[in-house]
Amino acid sequence: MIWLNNAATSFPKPQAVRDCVNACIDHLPCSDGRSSLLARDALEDARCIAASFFGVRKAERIHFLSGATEAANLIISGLGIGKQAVLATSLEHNCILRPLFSRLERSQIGIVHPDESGRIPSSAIPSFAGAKFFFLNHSSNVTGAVQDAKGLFAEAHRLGMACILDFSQTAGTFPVDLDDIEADVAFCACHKGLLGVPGCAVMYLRDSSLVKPSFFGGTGEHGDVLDMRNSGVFEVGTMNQAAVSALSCGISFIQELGTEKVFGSVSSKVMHIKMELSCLSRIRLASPLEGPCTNAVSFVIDGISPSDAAFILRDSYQIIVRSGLMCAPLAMKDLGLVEGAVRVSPSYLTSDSEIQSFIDAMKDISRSISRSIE
Amino acid sequence: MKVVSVSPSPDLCSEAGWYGFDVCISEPMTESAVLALKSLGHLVYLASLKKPFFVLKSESLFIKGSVGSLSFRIGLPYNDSAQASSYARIAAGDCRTLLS
Repeated sequence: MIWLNNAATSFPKPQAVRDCVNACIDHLPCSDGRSSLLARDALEDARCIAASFFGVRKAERIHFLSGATEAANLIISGLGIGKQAVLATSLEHNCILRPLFSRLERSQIGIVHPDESGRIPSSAIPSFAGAKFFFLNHSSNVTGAVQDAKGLFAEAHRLGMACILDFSQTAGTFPVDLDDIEADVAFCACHKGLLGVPGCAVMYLRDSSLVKPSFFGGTGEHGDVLDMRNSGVFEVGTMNQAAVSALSCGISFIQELGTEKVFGSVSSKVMHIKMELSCLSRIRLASPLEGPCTNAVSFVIDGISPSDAAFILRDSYQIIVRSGLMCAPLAMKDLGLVEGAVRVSPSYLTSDSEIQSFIDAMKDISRSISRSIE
Repeated sequence: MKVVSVSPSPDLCSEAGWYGFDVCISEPMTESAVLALKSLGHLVYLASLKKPFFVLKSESLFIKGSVGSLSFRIGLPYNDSAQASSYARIAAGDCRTLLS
């Protein structure tokens, strides 16, 4: 099988990541405060590695959670939104949209839409001047278009909004400098571009008082303190050490190769796919050809539904892609895609021959539709 | 061709809006069985693909698969495995009298 669904989760993982996860399972467990076995704390190492990778000067701004969805929910429930207005983009993933729409009144939620290039214009932000919080998806998991987060947050801050960044799609595939972007809060999954495994997310808090914790439990210290509401502690319970260590290994893998090389390689594969697809009849790209993009390339095929296309690719060509609404219903609505789209997303570890197999399959499909029997 | 099993499809997100059922059959799907589905709705048949693909769609049903496969998928707008089994038998030619 050829895995071209790396925007969902990356596969394969680098050997170093696989070795790291196995080592965690094979070695004696150790975590600060919970055992008499003392050892270098992998958690603090990972914190420093992640901080350095994401341009964060103070490593204590980095917290680890069990997943991006948990992070999104914790952030939204811990911001103290109450009855205040919030602004989100139509490009947000359901991990942001669903908690917002489930917790707040519809009238509290303003939605800003992208322009034809798939990017949110900063000129659109002042129309939502009453909002106190701005949720921005750094890159849509549908179109792959990367937003000008720094520019948008500057405008939002000028209007008094706290800014929350979902960088799950850009982490590991595009340069991210959280201090420079001036996000107040940010989070990302670790199992996509960062080449880690599911079970870990990075949450960044410029100021730990911005978000109140909503999960409480053992922390390995000060066990006599019971009321932790204002503790600023988010890492509770037994951490997923294997996933955190895998994150460290994934980032180290990227850094040893060089971010320019890794990001450039992904970008070049994406561009190649886009150029080939744009030449095929009956294929309409939903991802922009210009401007900064991550590895998500979405398209539709005139004549068959996205789910049919994905079925053909898997059944006839052993190629795995994503199809449907991709947990981004508002983005699909903006694009006029009621049935959603097909998304192909390579990673640094996707080979050129695998990409060529996909392109050849798409050529077959395009030709076949022209000759279809109806 | 006989229906061996009908089970809920794990591919939930892809068939958004439909309840999918995966049907296993005793022999590979044939082109004649595909073309016989025309009476149930609108059939699209991509005969020149590496594995020819078909999809039959109506307002209340889809059936999709590939010629040569030992399985195909049925979609219904409601979760009714008994109805899915009936359509599966029709598609497999298990009870062809229902078509005439």
